[in-house]
Amino acid sequence: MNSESMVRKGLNSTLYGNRLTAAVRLLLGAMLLLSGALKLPDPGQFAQVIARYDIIPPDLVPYAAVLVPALEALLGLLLAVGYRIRAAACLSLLMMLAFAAFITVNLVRGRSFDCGCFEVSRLGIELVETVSVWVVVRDLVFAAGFALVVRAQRHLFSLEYLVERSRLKNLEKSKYE
Amino acid sequence: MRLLKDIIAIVVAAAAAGLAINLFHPRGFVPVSRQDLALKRVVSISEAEAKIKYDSGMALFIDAREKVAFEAGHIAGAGNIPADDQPAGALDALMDRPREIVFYCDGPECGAAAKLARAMIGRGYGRNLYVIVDGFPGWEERGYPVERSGK
Repeated sequence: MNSESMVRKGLNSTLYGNRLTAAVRLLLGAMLLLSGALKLPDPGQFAQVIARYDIIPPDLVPYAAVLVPALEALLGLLLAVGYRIRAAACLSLLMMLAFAAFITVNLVRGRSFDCGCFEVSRLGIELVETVSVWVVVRDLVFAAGFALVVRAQRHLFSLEYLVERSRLKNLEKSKYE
Repeated sequence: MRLLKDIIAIVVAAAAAGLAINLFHPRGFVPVSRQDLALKRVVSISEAEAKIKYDSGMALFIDAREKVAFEAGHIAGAGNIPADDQPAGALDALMDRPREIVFYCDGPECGAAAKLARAMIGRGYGRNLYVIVDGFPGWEERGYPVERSGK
């Protein structure tokens, strides 16, 4: 009974926002920032990746190729720094679900190609990730992580938290001035 | 409501940042996107892959270089359509050949082969177009069949 209440306590604290959610936020933010930054230098190549998925109309592909890496990098930055966290996490969640859906559609079509998830070849790492169920599962796990961040009320180690704390600390002072 | 506002603000900021980066990017490409994507339907192949097509006898080889270069040496059995001559008639003649067409010129830097392949796409011939990346020098280096017609 005691251990059960401890689990419950841990769960509640995770839902409210504890060090675990902060770690998830920081890790996922860093990941998004990295993957966005790696895609930014070459929009042409990323456009080919998007075109391979064959879902977005060809005329819109270049615009998506320009928008998506910038969006990824910006969301990652916001999450890592801890500013407008809820909105950034919401968008990231939607993006992950969209990625998972795109890959699923192509799996159902029975096609197989490099998913273009992380362009780490730019760093000299050879990594060819083919579109697969595993990639979908991974995206869904990421999505779950973002959901956890969206759900949290408090974000430790974030700019928002720091600002809020210093505001509360100086509340009394500012009241009388 | 504030959440929605934040989300829209983030998307707008990302779009602005992305477009700005693209504007100053040496290979930024939004204005020429369509051509770029049309080019994607041309398949780049190596000499070895070209040789397989050559041996199968199903492919038509087209030399996109100048006549002089063609006469000095070309892939055995290839036709010559210099890309700089605005070769509308010659390309039209290719249109009703229902087989693979392999273009080549002098290697990765010369744009002549890709130019011809794009011209074919412009005519609605969207499939079975190939460009040998390393062109004639790569082919000759491997000792594949070469023909000379100059004196």
